Amino acid sequence: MRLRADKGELGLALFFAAVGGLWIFRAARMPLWEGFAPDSGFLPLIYGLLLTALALAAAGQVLSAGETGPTQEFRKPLLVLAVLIATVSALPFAGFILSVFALLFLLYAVVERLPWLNAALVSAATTGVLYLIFKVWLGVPLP
Amino acid sequence: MNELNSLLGGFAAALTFKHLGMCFLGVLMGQVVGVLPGIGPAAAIALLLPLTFGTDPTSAIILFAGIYYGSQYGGTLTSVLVSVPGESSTVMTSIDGYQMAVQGRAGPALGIAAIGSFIAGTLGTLGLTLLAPALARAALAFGPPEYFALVVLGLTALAAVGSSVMKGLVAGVAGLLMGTIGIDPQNGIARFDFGRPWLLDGIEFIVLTVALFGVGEVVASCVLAVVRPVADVKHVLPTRADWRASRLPILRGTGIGFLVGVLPAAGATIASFLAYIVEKKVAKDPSRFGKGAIEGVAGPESANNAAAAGAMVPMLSLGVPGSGTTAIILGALIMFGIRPGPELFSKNADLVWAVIASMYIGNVILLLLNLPLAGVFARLLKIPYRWLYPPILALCIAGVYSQSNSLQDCWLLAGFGVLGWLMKRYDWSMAPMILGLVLGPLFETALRQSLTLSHGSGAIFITRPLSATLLAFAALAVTSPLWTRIFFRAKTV
Repeated sequence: MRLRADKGELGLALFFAAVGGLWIFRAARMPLWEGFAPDSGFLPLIYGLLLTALALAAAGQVLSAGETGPTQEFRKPLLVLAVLIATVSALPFAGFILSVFALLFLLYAVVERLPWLNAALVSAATTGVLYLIFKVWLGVPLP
Repeated sequence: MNELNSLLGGFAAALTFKHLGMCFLGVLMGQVVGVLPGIGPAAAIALLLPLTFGTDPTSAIILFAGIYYGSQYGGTLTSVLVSVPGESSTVMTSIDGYQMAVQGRAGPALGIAAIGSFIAGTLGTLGLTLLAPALARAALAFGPPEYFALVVLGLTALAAVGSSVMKGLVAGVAGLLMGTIGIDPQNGIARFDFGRPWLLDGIEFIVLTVALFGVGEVVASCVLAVVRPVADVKHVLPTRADWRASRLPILRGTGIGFLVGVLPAAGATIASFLAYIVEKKVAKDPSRFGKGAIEGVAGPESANNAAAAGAMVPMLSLGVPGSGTTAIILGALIMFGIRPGPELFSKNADLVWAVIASMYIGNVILLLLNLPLAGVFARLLKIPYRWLYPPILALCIAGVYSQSNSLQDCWLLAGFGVLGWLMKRYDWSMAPMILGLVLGPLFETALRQSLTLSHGSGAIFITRPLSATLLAFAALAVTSPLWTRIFFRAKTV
């Protein structure tokens, strides 16, 4: 899958504009001014207005630059992100060791297509080192 | 004299076994991340934040500072040996450095870069020793309006360092906006928690930093698959002729680098660019540049190292970071409960002077590491990135979870990781977002206090000379692309 770079950037700018819009919407319902000083809603409202205006201006810049940018590889980063999200989803029920081992193994063996045995050995070693650092050394109650 | 005594005290602290170890570890890691593809000093510090949480702040900041200036040395190796700059500040080095490597002179190129970096780093730290306390003393008169203006300057200056001021400002405002999530410290009202109790504490600095600089950078870099042929490194010590040709470029580069580094909206990349231009201008035979002139390595390399020390001046004395990495170090100070700004030199003098002293020591360690071990570090370039990034992602998850044992933080990591990937991919500066998040509460408090002082009049920000000056600098930073265009147009007419 290959997408035009500027469409993604346009989406990024519009995402920031939408977040700004959300902040305007919610901040407008909060108290804005109390005595001489701003209240809880004032600065979020200003930030929302600023973010929307700046993000729309950035979107305008992207549009005016045209669609001449080079196409970029999307497939691999999306795969990596999918594996990351699957790992986070698995943490509560599969636990840290299994989830992190699966993350590493999937990235090495499936995404990078490295030999399965090497992938399994490196994944196990890395998971073990992380367990030792966080659970044994730092005493973190890992899931 | 006061500074000398404080510096001696700093050396006493920095030379303890623990701090010396942290300094060594920091510069070594900086050197390594400077060499490795797809991970920069900002990402390395971000990944280490959870591990240093709860430790002695002085040790942690010594470690982070070491990574910061150590990476300037490491970035040179990739520029010279494979013509791929490890850091943007070593782009200019790759022009003549790589040509020297092609001609079989990679060793002298790396040698003069290490010696120049050492001289510039040491002189730059000397400049930091002399200038930063004086600047902090002058800034002690700061009140709420000046703190407000300082945050504006910090954000705009950092936005101006990136590829686009507009995109940098979007990131900065988005960071400020995220800083409003949670309980309003002034009156206890819950803001933007969207009915989720775990958002009442706000978004943690570590979570956002690891997500943007760890996950975002890793995912953006995972497409790096090519391993380039690496030139051999032999005879690192430069000849007498090399040294004669490089002496003055090193000194000029140091001066340019330090001055540019101190300016909030500039940075090491601009410093190395200017140093290269200056060397080409003053050269008897400018046609040698681009074909392996050693001055083209010595000048920019000295400049970027002096700039790294220079950038610590506004960071330590005013709390205004000059680069993405110093923005994260600033965030780390806040994480440790230390308020950055002019009071740092009086309230946390032990920490500041130990960090400054460690920079002198770190530069010596880097010189000792680089001259005999340049060939060893060069071998790191042969490690394919595909072996490196999966453990980094696993470390991101473990680090973020360990910060408050929260699975929700892991979800935030994934969400902001996607955002970081897109920002990195499209060259949107991420550091202003971090700075906005960490300085947001200070900004809001300063605004409220200022307006209470002035009975609601915004004129307080422009009628007080210091505040007005800082805001004027902020306006200069925002309009810097315009001034740059006018300057270059005037030069070409």
